[in-house]
Formats: sequence, structure tokens, C-alpha cells
Amino acid sequence: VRYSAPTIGGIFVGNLKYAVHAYAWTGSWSNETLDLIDRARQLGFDMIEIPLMEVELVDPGAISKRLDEVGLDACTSTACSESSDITAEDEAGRRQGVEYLKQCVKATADMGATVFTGVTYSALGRKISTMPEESYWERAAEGLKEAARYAQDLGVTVGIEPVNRYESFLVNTCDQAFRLREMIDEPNVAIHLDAYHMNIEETDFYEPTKKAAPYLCHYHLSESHRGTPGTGLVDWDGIYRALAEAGYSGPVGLESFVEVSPAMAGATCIWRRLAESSDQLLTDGLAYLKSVEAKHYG
Amino acid sequence: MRQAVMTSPGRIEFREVAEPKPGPGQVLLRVKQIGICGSDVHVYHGRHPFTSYPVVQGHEFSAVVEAIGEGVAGIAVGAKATARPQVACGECQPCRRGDYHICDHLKVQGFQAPGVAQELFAAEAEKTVSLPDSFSHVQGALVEPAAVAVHASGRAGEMRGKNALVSGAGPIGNLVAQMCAYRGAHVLITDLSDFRLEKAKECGIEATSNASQEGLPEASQRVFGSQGFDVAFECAGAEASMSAAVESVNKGGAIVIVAVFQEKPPVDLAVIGDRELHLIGSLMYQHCDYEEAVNRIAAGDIRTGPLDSMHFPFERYLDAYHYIEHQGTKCLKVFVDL
Repeated sequence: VRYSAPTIGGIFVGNLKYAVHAYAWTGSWSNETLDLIDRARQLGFDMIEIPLMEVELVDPGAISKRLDEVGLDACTSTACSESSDITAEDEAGRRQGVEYLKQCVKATADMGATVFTGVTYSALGRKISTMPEESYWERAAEGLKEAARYAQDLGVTVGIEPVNRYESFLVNTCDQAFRLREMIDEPNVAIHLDAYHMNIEETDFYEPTKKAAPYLCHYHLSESHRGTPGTGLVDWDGIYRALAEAGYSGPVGLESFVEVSPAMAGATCIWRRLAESSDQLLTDGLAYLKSVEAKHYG
Repeated sequence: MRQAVMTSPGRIEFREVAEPKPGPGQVLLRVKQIGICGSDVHVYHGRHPFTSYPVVQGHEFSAVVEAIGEGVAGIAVGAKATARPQVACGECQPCRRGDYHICDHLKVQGFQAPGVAQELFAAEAEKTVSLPDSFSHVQGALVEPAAVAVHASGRAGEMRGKNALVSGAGPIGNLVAQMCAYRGAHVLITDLSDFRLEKAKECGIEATSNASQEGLPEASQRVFGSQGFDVAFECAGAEASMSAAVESVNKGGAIVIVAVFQEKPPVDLAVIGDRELHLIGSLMYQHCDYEEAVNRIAAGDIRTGPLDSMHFPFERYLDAYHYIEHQGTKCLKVFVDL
């Protein structure tokens, strides 16, 4: 067997697994932030999403040990930057991007996680002057194919997270994520939706969620204004109905941009305080989302 | 290459097996999408009377031509294609008179012979049908059930101007109804599921009736008035719908049995005799039905979009069955993508 589906998640195998993105509390993951694993558990989460933007600072062994001690699962994510962009026009830059993705896959496997996802296909926030030529898609597919094949041997699934037009010029919608997945044509490439971005780019929430559900490795349950889930425009019933019908039992995640670093504030356009604190947003959001889950999962 | 093998009911193993090579007269197909049908579900449940395990499933599929074997002409590498899953002996009486679809020794790939649930499949060129470039793989995978409908809808003779009842609005009933409409019949479709009746409407079948809320005589009266209906296509496989059709079809009318009945339903033969009804069987299709199914889908006479319910990746083949079980009649066609 060349590859089997991720060990976390599945179809009709249980409840959703709620992750919290460590960005809720820190802009940079290192051994200084290991306590956040305990904090995630205390707030009632099943998983923590470890950011790998500064993968050289990440110590997978230490994370793995703390996860075991606390009894928490992890997934990892990134948003590629100019220095790790597999759509780069120059070969050296593209190569650097592929090597970075492989480094992230290795770190993911080394900490005992099975899902590495995010804006893996291009630099976050990159803008080009025209609609992307096919060559951009081809470079993204080629780079991710190499990373995905490498990930197969390590039992890791690589996710594609469509983000809104202001944050990526390439993959904005669920359909586009499927298109890229088809171009990559490797079985361990999965889809990662985010309700915040969907609110900008999709025509509704139910249909893309239903289509993606059997292919999902993660789902960011972010509100339309990136504040507390349940206080904005996202159709949570539509999302949970689609997930429940498909029997999705994998990771879903909360993000909080209340205490983001200045760099992330710039990248994500957070110019005001969206809740009293990250913990408040997460606690209220998790309670709300679990109430919607109870309604649809029965 | 990867191959999915159902080793026992409800259990699928993924194996790494050697890639097939196209022999003389064969076409090597790269399988892209597999549709799951009711018979597959019976195999999944261990309730298919003519299938033993292990079995490689898959008989409704769309593919891309990867290579062609010696002596094959008219099929281009890179083209989309599908293939008939029938293996006939060619020697029995039905085969000799051209009725190979009811061959005495018929084997169907995915049931009594290995199916296409693998990355590459070597098909006989004579059973392969090229698909237009405009076809989606969903449309390609729907050619097989559409061919069932092409064949069944032709079993009761000329349909133009006739009133036809289709009992059952699952994928086969839906496609039979669409083919009857294409052949010029006025169609009423019935089912117990509003979801499925709504999908039939989306496919252009306006006259629907939920049999749990309206009796067949009332539905017939509402839709056909005093004319009643001349032909009934039994696509539900249920005693209740069969009995209702026998009771309500016009004198001298026909009932075409398309569904596979699990139980043996009591049928009122006195009524059949008294009213000179015709009971007509229908099994699968012939090659011309496959070609006609492609034409009808290409021309838009058969709408396929509303039948497309859900897709699962190959690695989640078993989850596709879980989904079908869970959704019941709230889905039509579920596909496995490769």
C-alpha cells in the first residue's frame, strides 16, 4: 500500500476533532511556547495547530513529547512566503520552496502528526499584475507533487487551503483547490477549507463543504470578520449540515487573531481588537460551534 | 498500481499489483471515475446472489485511453472512454442470435469477473466506447446506467405519444424517465422520496408523485386524466409499486421489469390474463445502447448534473458505501475518483 488515508479523521468514525491554531497566542513557535499545548488542552481542544513558518525554530521531538504527556494531537500548517514560494519564476527560488515544504513535512512526521496544510502552493499575499498564466498552476502542482510524494513515505497528508483574493492570486475557491489537487494527482493531497475566506469567495457554504468533505484534512472555522464564531455572517448550519451528511470526523480548527504579531496583523489585515482576548474568543467560539455540531451530528 | 479489492462484505483492501498490458484487440484505460450502483451495494452487504469474494468491483466508469494494443483502430490515445462490462460466451443460443446481453454464461466485470477498481484496466476494444472531449468523467461514468435506460425504454416498442409510468426515481428510474421523455412519451415518475422526485424534476420530468402521499390511480388521473397510462417501467423493485402498476396500467398495456427484485413479489396473474397485459423483462444493454447513451448525454437529452450526489477519493472507497448507507434515498449517484 503506497498510501492510506490520514489516521486522524475519517468518515463516520466519530466526532469532529477541534484544533486551535497556536497563532491565537504566539506569532512564532519554538520551545519557548511548548506550554501552549497544555493551554489548548485546558481550553477543551483535541488538537493544536503548530505553525511552521519558522520551521527551523520548531523542535518536533520536544513537541511530540509534550503532546504525549498532555494527551493532545497536532497538525501543522504554514503560509508560504517570498522565500518559500513554489510558484517563483526563477528555478532557484522554486527549488527553495520545494525544499521548505519537504522540511515542513519532515517536521510534521517527526512530531507524530499526519496533516501538514495551509497556503502551501504560493506565497501568502503575493500579487501579480495579471490573471495567473497556466505556468503558475503548473509550477504549484509540480512543487506540491514532489512534496506530496516525499510525504507519502512519511504517512503525511498535504493540504491545500484556498484563501481570499487579497491573500493569494492563485487558489481562492474550493473548486480551484480541487483543480490544483487534480493537477498534482497524488492521493495524499487534501483540501483545507476556511469559512472566513469562503465568505468572500464562494457563493454559499453548504455546497463547497459537501463537495470537499470526503477530501478534507482540515477546516478553519473562522468567522466572516475573524472574530468569535457565531457573531458574524458565516452560515454555520450550512457548514455543519454538509459535514454531518458526509460523516466527516476529522480536524476542524479555530483561529484567533486577537493577539497577533505585528507581522501577521499586516498580512491578515487585522486593524482592531476582535474580542476581549484570544482565550475569550476561543472559549465562546468553541462552545458555540459545539452547540451547532450537536444539532447536526445528533 | 493501486487496486481496491472487496475481500468480504464490507471490507476493502488496497493492493499494489502489476500494471496490465493491452493485448491484441485491447485498450489500456486509465480509470478516472467509478460510479457505485445498487448492485455494488448488494455486494458490499454480502447480498448479491451471483458474486463471490474476493472481488474487484467497478463497472460504471470513465477513463482516459493510455495505450492501444495490436490491431486496434479508431480509438485514440488520450481520448476519454468507457467500456461495457459484459463478458459473453459467444456460443450459446442467445449469443448466436445476437442477444449476448442475456448470454447463458454471462459474466459481468465487477461481479463474476474482475472490475475496474484500479488505476489501469485492459478492456476489449470492441466493448470500448470513445467519449466526446466535452464529456465530464461523471458523464462518462453515467453511460452504463444510461445504457440500461436506453435498452429498457426501448423494450415496450414505440413510445411516441404514449403515457408512461416510471416507478422508482433512483438513478435507473430517473434515467429511464428521461429516455422515455426523449422517445416522445408523457412521463409520470413516482417514488417515496421527495429528494429523488425533486431531482427528477431538475432533469426535466415535471410530473411526479410521492407514493406515500398519493395513490397511483389518483396520480394517474391527475397527470394523464381519463387516458391513463399504457406502459409502466418498474424501477423500484418493490412489491407495492409492482402491484400498483398491474392494477392501474391500461388494458393491453405493458409492464417492463427493470429493477432487480430481492424478494419474489406476488403478482396478480388473473389481472394480467384478464386485461391482456404484457410483462416484459429487461437486462442490461447491448453495444448499440452504449453508443446511444453517449449520444443522448452529449446532446443534452439526458441531463446528468442532478444525478451527481457525492465524490470520494479512491482511498475512501469504503466510505462511499458508508455515505450511501447513511444517506439512504437522499442521494442518487456516488462516485469514486482516481
